[in-house]
Amino acid sequence: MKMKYIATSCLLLGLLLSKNDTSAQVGLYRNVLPDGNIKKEYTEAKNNQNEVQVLFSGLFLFYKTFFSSQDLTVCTFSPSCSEYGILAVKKFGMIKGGVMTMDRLTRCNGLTPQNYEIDKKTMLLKDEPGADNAVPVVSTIK
Amino acid sequence: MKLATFLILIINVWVANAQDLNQTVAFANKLYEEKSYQNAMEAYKRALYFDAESNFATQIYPKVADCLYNIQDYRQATEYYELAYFSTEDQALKNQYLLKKISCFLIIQDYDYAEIEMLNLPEVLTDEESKEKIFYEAMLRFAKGEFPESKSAFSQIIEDSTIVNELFKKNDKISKISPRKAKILSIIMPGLGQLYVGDVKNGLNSFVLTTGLIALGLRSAILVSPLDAGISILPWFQRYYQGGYKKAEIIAVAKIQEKRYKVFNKLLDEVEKKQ
Repeated sequence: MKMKYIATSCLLLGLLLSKNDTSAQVGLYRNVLPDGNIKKEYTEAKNNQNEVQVLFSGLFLFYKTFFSSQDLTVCTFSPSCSEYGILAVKKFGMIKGGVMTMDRLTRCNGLTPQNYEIDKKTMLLKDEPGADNAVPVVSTIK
Repeated sequence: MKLATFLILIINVWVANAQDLNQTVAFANKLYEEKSYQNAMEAYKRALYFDAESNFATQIYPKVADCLYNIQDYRQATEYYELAYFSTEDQALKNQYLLKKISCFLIIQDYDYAEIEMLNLPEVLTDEESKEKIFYEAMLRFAKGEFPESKSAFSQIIEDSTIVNELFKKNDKISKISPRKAKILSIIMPGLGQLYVGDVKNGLNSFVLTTGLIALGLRSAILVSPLDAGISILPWFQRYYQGGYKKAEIIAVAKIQEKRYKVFNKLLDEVEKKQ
């Protein structure tokens, strides 16, 4: 009687294991088709350290959700001006970061591509807050 | 002292027993059996590097490919299955490598290459190989939008034909969604194309934004001057109006993909149940 139970449980276990194996095989092909997810995740607005960063991240997400989502790709830079803004505020604080963002907005016209490297992934001009310029914009004053 | 150092070195080289190729391959095989695929792959690659006469190539290429397959580096796995394919004369093994390659190309969504490998398979296959081929064929045809072929292949795998018919009927309805229609609707009225594909949030968003800009432009034209209104509002209106109808087309394409993805996974659920 005991042997019967052991044999039956072994058989059931074997069946269960073999099923899991085939499930894993079919599971490999779940993403053979694109899932159509075009929602973007903005990592720039995460890991806020203080209230100012929380406020600016909120403003950034509001702009991205309701305005930028309806817009054409018009920014000539990578990261885009809004992403640059939040990164600059997070890195240099509200005043310097704000000034840097305003400066960036005046530069966002594509008239001086020779001053920047090209981001090969997006084919846009690379300009990150705090990064050294690829080409000196003005001559240094001695 | 110099002589002593020289002698020590000579004796060391003479006495030292380095790991030979057989030992490296045996070590790699042991790692492979322990399912330590990353380490096994590195050991196999080392053996390949020192195997100048290609004595172990036939044995090692498929193992490296399997390791890469298991660590989900499917692109590189296809290259090693290719090497394995040309290193053997055994047709059964060749078929096995071809099927693995098809599997890799499907997972990395490289459908054209998967189709090429499908055509490379011989007419005569064993039962197991045929089953595998039909399964890949069903997925490939679905991914390429060849639905009648996919349906007949899935019908061979899933016994309950009513489920297959139902799911493919659902799939046919998806084909009625037209990204072009969504674009035209959004040109006629901002947001309408998004509503047509069922994206209410973006539809209302586009409508409010563009009509808000029109209202602002009209107000400026009446209160200030039409020229001022044109200069200040028109560029913004153009951005959001044009952006709205272009996005409507993108959203429609994404919706089609999302719905197809769901139908496809339901078909896979049925295949899984059958197994």
